[in-house]
Amino acid sequence: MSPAPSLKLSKVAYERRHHQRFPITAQAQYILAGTRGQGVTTDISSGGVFLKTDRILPINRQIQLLVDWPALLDQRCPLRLVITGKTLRSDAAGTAVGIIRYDFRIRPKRATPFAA
Amino acid sequence: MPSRNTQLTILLLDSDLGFMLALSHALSERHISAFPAASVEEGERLVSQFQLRLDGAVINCGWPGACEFSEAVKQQNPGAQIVGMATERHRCRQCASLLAATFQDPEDRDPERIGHCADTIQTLLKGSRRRAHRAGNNR
Repeated sequence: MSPAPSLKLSKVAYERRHHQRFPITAQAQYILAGTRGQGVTTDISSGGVFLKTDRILPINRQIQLLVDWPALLDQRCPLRLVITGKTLRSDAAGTAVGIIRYDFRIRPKRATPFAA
Repeated sequence: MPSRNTQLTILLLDSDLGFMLALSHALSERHISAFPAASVEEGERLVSQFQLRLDGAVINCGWPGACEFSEAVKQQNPGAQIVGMATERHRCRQCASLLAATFQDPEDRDPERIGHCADTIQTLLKGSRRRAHRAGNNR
């Protein structure tokens, strides 16, 4: 006889859906301990981001990620997603960042799109 | 208020960052600019700051002020297409007449449903713009 579905499991599944990860490849700039670098996101959820960088980043550090929002106004991108988070895991594949908070900021007019 | 954007423009009023960013990317590929807002106040600020004339909005009717915001969008642009996020427990009666379509929450938040959501929005917005063009030409 198969076991009855547990309420606890359904709750976990429900919460997981609320932090659904989306495969999003976007150029990102990071600032970690005052140092700037470039990376590429591979997936993003409300709770975290996975970032590929050309070096292994230290863990348990606060990090800021800047991602241009894919919307155009007068042929330019006016908005930037700014994520403040913490590096949770890091290896040659990339760095998992837990999101502490995020907000949307006006992108400076002089800012150039992040280099590919 | 004059439109500064010849591109179709929509506001996403939601708190799911992954969903908003994935949908914005999918809409961008369809030449639709999607602006995100995590609250009604933020949405109003964006509209005012960028002088956006919205062709549509995706709203969560459960949010305080979301239905009034939709009414304001429709007043500014009667052709604007409003899409509501509806959960099993919450279906809004207040703005039901304003909604052009409904996404099911959480089913349509699945990454595999992003293309469907973007296609639905594209069909609604382009249809509305075509109708507005025709109406303008007939005057």
